[in-house]
Amino acid sequence: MIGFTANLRPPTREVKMPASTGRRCSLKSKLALPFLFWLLLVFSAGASAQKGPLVDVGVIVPRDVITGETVSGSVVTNPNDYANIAGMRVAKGQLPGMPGATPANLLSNFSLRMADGAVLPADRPFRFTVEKDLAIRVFRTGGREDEGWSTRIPLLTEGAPPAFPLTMVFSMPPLNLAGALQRIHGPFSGDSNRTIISVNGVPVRLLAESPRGVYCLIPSDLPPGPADWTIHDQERTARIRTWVLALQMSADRLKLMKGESTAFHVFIKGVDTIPQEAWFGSGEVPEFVDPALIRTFLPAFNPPTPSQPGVLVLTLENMSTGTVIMSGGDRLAFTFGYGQGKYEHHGTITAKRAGSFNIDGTLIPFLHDQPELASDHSMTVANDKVENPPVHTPSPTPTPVSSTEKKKKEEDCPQRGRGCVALVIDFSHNVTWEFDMESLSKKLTAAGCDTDYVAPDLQEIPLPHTYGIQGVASYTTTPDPKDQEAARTHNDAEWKKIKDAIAQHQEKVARGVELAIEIVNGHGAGKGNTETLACGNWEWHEYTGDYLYRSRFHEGNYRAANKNVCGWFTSDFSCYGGLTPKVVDELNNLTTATCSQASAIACPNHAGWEADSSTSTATNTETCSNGSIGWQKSYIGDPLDAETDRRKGLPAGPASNYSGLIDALRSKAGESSTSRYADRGYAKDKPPAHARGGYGEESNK
Amino acid sequence: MSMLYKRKKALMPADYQAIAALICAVAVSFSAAAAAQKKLPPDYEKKREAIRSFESGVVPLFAMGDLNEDGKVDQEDLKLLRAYVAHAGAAGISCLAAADLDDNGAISAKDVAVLEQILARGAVQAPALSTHSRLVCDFKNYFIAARPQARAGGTVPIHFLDPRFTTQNSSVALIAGPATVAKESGAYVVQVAKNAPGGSIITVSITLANSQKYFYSFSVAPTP
Repeated sequence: MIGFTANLRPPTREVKMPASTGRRCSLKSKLALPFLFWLLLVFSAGASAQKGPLVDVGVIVPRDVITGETVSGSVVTNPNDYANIAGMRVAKGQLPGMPGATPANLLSNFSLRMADGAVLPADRPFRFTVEKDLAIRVFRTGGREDEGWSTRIPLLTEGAPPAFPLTMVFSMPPLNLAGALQRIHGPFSGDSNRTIISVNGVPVRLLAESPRGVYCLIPSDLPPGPADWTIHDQERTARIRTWVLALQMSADRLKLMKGESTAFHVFIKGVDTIPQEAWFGSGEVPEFVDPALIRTFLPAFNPPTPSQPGVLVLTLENMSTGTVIMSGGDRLAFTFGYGQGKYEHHGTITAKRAGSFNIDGTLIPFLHDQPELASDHSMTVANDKVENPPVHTPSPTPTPVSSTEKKKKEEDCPQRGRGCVALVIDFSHNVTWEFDMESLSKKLTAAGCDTDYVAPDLQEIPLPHTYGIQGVASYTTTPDPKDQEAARTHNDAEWKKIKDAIAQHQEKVARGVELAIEIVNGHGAGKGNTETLACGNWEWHEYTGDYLYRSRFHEGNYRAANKNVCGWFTSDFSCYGGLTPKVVDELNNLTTATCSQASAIACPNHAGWEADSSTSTATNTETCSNGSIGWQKSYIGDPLDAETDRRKGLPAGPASNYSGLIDALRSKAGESSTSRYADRGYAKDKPPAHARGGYGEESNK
Repeated sequence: MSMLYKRKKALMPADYQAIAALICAVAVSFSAAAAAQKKLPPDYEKKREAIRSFESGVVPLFAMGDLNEDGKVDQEDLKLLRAYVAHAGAAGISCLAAADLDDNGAISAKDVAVLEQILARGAVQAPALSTHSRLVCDFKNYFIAARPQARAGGTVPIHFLDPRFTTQNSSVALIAGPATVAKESGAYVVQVAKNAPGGSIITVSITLANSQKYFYSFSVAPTP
């Protein structure tokens, strides 16, 4: 939520807003919205700060908390600015003012104590464990505690415990405003003293944090343009690219007599730095924007879906209708899209009578959140610099060659000749009646792929069962806890093998390989209600205490493969396996893994240079037959056999490339499997030719 | 033929106090996961071929207590079980999985006691079918296949493997649990309720064209 006030200046001068004005303006409730740029043209004398013995303060804490969690909050001197933030709880109070202190440094003179805890500085975030409520006292450092201000903030909502799904990746809205409040989603620790966030190398002040996200303040001097965020928490570092915009408003004349007119100008700065791939909608109104506000200006407006072009909506409202008339009407809305050239509006203000007037300007972005970029490791190994979306950076200076050869080399995939790596996770190995993937794994090895075959030796964790038969009797099994624990311990080690293999595979891929392959065989489940289960999961045929989640698995593989491979192929031999091509489609175009977004075309987001493809034996909403697992293995096995035969005919040593196999797997994906997605990679998909089937989307080819 | 392969773990005996009638060793499948080497029933490939067209995860069922797979649970089965426990041999036993009546993964005198109680009322009129075992079974007379479990909102198809039985001349009915039963093309489908708690038990009766009745119970799998 962002708000600031600007005094009109001649159009050639850019308006600079002091931080204090931002706070003052955001006292207006409509300003408590992140990503919403609120501009007030004030043609009257600015409000003057009132000095007094007491100053307003408040305590803010996140609202999405669960008993027992670690979360963080802050003491602030502008509590009203946060009063309408839906995700925050705010307790307001007053403290005695300090001679010479400003709102910016007042709290450095105060301390706080939670319940009977230690005394902490009041100008830093404080961490606590969620209970029914939070008792906190703020007092002058070195002074008497009972002379300060104390409050008790209820933390939990009456009724059933709320469901706050945890997110596994960091993300945030794509547009920011300097000096504004910002929400970042992600798997945070909840402890703001451990979380470090910076933007363009400048530390960001954290205000509140839960295990699902943080609220922070963007530095007020951040210029319009790309903003590279670094988030470090829980021994993990993530990067996100967003863009800072600025809304500049001005008028040629600041004073009007009755009947006089003046031109006014609105410029949206920084829009031209937003790349095309970020210009897709999310299907939703931004998190803290009141949908009623949108309806007021655009009654028939529907937020663009992920497959539709995103837009920026600029609203202008004449707040002084008794004094002036704004050309076009007192409420105006303008929609801006990608590549529009000019992001500005020019109009006229005419005075009905002499006096001051206000005009509100609000900019609301309807763009999808920005996900975290590939890990530092993969980027430093395979990409020369961070981009969003990651872009292919040409290989280092090649050996001088003839112009024809040079052209040819530059056009080829930078990972050509760097081999094939494959990961096969097989939950059905040694399970009677189920088809396993051992033979396919051997084919991969024969085709020259560095293959990790993981066939976990899982055990059922016995659960109590009660059987009743027609009222004759009942039979209850009571598993011995020792047996349950033994099975869990055994399974933990087996699941660790799977997770280690995944990490190892992704590390190999991130170093850069020509072809990356992942195959999973087992029992698949469909979409669930939580973010973790958005794309369903895989499991053994009995309860083992853990699951492998499709969205998390494929997202990790995409991050590793993105711009680090020539071809990326994945296959899912399980029920509801169509969720795999669906999420691979989503990752390759939208970079997200929600399995809820409609397909889009954004070729710069494709992972592979020349192909990405994905297959499954089932649709995304149905089971598949036992036999389909068996026969659809051939869709992969046949190209592998052909590749093996081809290699037999080559001289000893590494075969030149896998382009033939990559093409064959892409073709199979587009033709044969029950569900499939295929594209021609970020370098070759021109014009886009996306094969889709089995998950409710149609091909574009 | 060796039928003694076991998985590594051995479950402790279950609660015997309430055992009286049937034993539905419910839930989950009958495969041999943890065994280093899979022991397969005779004609395994042929039998697997028969269930290829069924939904993934559908496996054949066996009748609890029917050690010789003659379709009946009677004194002959008890005799075989006693002999096996007394180390007198496994001759005549083709489905050791059917002998694990207390569902603990091992065959012992306790299983004998359970079967004795069951047969105290005479031969079992409606045996319980199961997929769940850590022991082997030849499936000499396998005639029904089903999924071993389902999540809330999921389905458990029930197929007839024996051509004498079809959805036209045989029936499936819900006995207990949060589910409904529907007849679909070539199979009955048990639809588990979307709000079914994980671990709850669903029981259906299966009545074949020859009037032989069976019960089949399965558990609702926990949701992550």
